[in-house]
Amino acid sequence: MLFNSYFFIFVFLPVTLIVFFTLGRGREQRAAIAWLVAASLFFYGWWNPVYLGLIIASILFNFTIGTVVGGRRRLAVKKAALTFGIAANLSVLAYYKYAGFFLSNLNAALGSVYTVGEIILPLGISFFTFTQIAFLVDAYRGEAREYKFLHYALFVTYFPHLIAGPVLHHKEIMPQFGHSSIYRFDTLNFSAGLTYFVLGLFKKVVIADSIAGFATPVFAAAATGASLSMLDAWGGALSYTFQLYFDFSGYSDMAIGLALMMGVRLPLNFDSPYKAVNIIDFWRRWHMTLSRFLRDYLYIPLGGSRYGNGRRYANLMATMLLGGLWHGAGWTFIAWGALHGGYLVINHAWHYVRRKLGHDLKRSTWWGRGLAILVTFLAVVVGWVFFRADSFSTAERMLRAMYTFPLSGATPFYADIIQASQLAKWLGLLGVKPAPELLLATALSVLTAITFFMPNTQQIMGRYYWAPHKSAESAPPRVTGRWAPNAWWALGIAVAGVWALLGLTEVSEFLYFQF
Amino acid sequence: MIEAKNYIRILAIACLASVAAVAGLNYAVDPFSVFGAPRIAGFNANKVDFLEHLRMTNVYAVKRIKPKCIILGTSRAGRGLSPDHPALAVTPCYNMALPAIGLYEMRRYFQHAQAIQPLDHVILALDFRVFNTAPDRSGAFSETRLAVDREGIAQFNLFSARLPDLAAALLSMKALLSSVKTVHQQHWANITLATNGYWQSLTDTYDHAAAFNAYTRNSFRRFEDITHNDPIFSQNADELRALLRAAYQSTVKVSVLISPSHAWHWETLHQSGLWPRFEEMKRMIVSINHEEATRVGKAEYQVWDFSGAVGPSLEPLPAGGKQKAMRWYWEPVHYKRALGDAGLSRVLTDQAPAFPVLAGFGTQITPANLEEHLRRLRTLQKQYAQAHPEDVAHIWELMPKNQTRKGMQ
Repeated sequence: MLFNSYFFIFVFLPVTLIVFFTLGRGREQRAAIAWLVAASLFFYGWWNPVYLGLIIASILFNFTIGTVVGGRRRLAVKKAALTFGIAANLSVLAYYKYAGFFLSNLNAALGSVYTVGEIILPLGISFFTFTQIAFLVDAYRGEAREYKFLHYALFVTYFPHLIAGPVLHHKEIMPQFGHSSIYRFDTLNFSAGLTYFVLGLFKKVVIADSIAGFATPVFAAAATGASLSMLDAWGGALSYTFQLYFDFSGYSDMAIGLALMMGVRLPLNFDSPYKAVNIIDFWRRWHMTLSRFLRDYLYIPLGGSRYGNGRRYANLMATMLLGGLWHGAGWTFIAWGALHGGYLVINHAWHYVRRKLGHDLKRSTWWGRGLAILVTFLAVVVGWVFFRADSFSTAERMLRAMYTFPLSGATPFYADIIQASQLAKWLGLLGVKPAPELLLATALSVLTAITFFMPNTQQIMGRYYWAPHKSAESAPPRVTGRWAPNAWWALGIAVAGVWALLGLTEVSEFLYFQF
Repeated sequence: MIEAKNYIRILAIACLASVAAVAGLNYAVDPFSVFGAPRIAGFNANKVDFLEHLRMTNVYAVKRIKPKCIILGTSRAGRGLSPDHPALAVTPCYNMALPAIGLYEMRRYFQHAQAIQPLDHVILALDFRVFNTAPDRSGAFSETRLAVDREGIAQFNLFSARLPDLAAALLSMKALLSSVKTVHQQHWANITLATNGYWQSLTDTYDHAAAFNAYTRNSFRRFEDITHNDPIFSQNADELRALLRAAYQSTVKVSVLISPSHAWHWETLHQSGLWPRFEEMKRMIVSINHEEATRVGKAEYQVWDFSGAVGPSLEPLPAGGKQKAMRWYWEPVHYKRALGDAGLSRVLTDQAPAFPVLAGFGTQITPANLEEHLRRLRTLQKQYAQAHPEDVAHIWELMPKNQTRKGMQ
């Protein structure tokens, strides 16, 4: 079920909340938790009931392994159970996500014709697999403990984060369900959560889905080998850059808002990543809970920076390559990961050299920061071309067109697409008929202004958003903010909400559902 | 806490009021003609933005109107065949024509209309494009909103079709845009959707010369794609067979028309090397019709061919600008209602043509006369080329590869 659907907003969510708070008012909070688990499984099964069995089996398996790993047993037994648990989780993920990719490469290398049949990727498998691996490792380290199956089931299935994150730590969520305040309807929590949700919905439906119309056709044309002008290619690449950000950060905002309606606080996933001054900074701001996971459960266990620069750079590359592969079974994702690994290595090496030269990395000028943000942004855009392209040849055509001077106008096919957009139609009604190039530049400029100069959602919400306990690294409490539960904000959010509702008839999945 | 309660209250009231206002406007204007709202002159009488949602409009219009006769075809039928023709007036008729429609969709709309109200008559307007159109993959065509599924079993689909369509017509940004556009452009629209589904032109002012050039370039590009379309061609043939088989098994009468186009268009087809394929299409239509009639022991449905460089299709093209209107054609592909009416009269009545130029317009084709008819059209096309060398040369220049070459020179 999609957050951006009428059924979710007007049926599933109200019913779930009403029953949850009704049950929670009684003394038996287990019933409220059971209800949330049932509702979350329904939410998951709405897409394809066949895979309900898979997620339930996965929960049962990991809970069992978790009790062994976190119990009072010999270290060797715990270690063996942990290894088995991680291997089993990764095997299931590998089968559903990578079997076809592996066989197609094997066939290409050996000239064989092995087939695996059609495997439909279960929704959210990458997310619930990683969440549970983190739980097993935390249990092994003694940082997480869960004796109640129902609580564990809720931790995994809790519908706000189930399909596309944020990737949660058990210790930052489950203690919250121990607080009785969660089970009582709180008007302020609900107001803040609803506002958060509407802002996310607006980002997804109004911004991301609109700009997608300027991105998808360009990549599709590049895939068919059509020749693109420089403007087409930049239009497509920048549009996708904004689409992905507003789509995924919008989803994350919605997830945070939904949880907040129940007084539950999820960790932040985005912190204005395109304002990053370098790639290291970018990865502290983009998909923060995945970065955190990769750091804690891959980069640091590989040795992190403990064994010198050479080993550190190798660990970074390995982490980013696997991070790329996590996003999808394709060489373009691996190339994207490799590219970012390379960026990070260069960035760390540059910092190392500057420190050796006695530079103070904390000091900078405004123009230096501006230039750094621009360079970082352009590097990220190049990465997104690989991320979005269906093949290397498509990516190559896009990049070649992006850097083939002189800057020429839009090709007729792209001009037609721009002129058929809703933006062009609204302007047409006002008697304004700008050239397609001007229209594209205007749309991208508006998004640039929103992205670089406006506060992000948590800055807007200020003190009404608190990070979960023990996740201070991803969301320090913000005492200043712009939102307040007053009439002006209510009217503003109503406009944003209705505007987004009017876009719900164009069904569009979240980009991160495919991962 | 009180602040938060007020916040939720104001937010809810503002949302409900805005939603009600948008829904009210969209219902009253009814830009997609889904609700059958009253048409008020100067407000919403002309549906100026009907094309994009016509797939939805037609399905609900048929549910509402319950016609006994439907017209199926592409935009040529939409613009040219009016259900107001006197010969159709006895049976309420609805024009279900859709742009770029293939035979699969036509068959499904036939099933839909039959399920709503058993039909007396279907006018099936075919052309070369119909046989070269792949099933819609854009999502515009919806199986679930039709009254029956592919097997003819009744379906309702509240959540997958009815409510989403209702939301699209009442509570979507597209509907709001179309409503505003409809009201705003009442007095200077070029075309509207009549209540009977006909795409009614509101003006005769048209730059025919520019449109002839643009459509010819477009046709060349389309024909180039068609040369690689064998599987789609045979899929559409199978769908025609399925449609005619279902029709022969019922009591409905089907009149098959091969649409007219200007001689320019036939010359474009000829220069693209697709003339033999077009003849193949006609052979296939006649043969499928004959086989399906024989299968149930019924008389064959009439098949009329209006194609070819004959009579009105030789209408001279006026010079550039919008001063002089053409009588029969908008551009090489789309014919005007006057020609559509002449065609319908030929098919539906025994009346002699109203004008001499229409004397040879339309031939009923059967397995017996088909080859002779095709030979005649070939000869007529040659005669046209000999008599109009400048047009032929101009058309050749409009071929994309020649335009590129010309640009390079």
